Amino acid sequence: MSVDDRFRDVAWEVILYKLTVRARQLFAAARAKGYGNALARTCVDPDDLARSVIAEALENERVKYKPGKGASLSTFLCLVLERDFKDLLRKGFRLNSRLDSIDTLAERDSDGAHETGLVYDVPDDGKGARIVELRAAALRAANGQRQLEDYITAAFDCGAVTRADQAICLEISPNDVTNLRKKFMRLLSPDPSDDTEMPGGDE
Amino acid sequence: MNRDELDKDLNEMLSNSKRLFGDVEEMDKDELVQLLDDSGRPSQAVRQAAYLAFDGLVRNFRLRGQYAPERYKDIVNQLRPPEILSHDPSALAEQAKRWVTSLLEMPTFNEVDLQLAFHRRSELTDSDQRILEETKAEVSRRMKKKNE
Repeated sequence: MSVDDRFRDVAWEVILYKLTVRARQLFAAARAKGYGNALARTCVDPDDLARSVIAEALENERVKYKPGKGASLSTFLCLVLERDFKDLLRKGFRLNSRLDSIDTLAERDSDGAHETGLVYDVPDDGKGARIVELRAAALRAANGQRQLEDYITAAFDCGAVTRADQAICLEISPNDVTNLRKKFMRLLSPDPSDDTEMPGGDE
Repeated sequence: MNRDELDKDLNEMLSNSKRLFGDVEEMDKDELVQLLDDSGRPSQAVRQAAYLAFDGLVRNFRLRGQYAPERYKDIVNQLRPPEILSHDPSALAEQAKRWVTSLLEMPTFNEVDLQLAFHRRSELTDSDQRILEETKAEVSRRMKKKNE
């Protein structure tokens, strides 16, 4: 089967949106966990990562996806995106090691303005760093708001993963679940122009 | 943190992010658009940027004197903004077909959330509450039936 046949009748717009939302979710989660430095060193934007996954799939003649067998194209591309994202983070860690080896005596300017999305003074090579659990970061971002805390409990402690399950668990409508998810995306991926503190940083 | 520990942590982060933000596989187009518009560059800008990127790839094929494969033309045609018309007659016909289809599509009411508007809501008795619940269920059922 040719590559053109594999991608016939695909709704590309929806796939692009799915991959972009997933990429933004992953970037927000990684920043919340304290991997902001490693991500920033790679200089990759979530939207660019999503686009590059589609471009690779279109370009690669030997792409392993087979329609009608197993997962849908969007599931397949989401898996590819997740793998690419993990590679990207590992690359970010490696870049940090390289910078350390070049100039170990350089002092970091701690008085400079903090850039949103970067986590300062927490080494991400693991020595002395603490792993921030996403659940803890989300609870911190919820900042005592009862509804958001209940959502975290439903998602992480009650095993409600799908929107319908979370709506039943919280006794709210599925639309309200979407609104809560939007709220968490906003809280954990702040506006770059906003200078507020990121969770997991400034230790 | 060694490589295995890092891998374990990254895998955990992937599954936890799905729990917290939701699985994109269960989201419909409207929900995806809402999430995009709310978390960074809006959906229209995402679509426009993707169109420009893939259109650039198609141009590169042409510059090399080759025909772009069908899959490239397909994605460019699907992402092309309405204000940019294609020079290809078949792509134009496809674009027109999509416009007409989207115009003829009925709005869907997957989740009906009725808003009640009347005075003295705090004075509702149990039977009032029951009547309201029944009416709400009936309206939802009728809207769903009409939508099918």
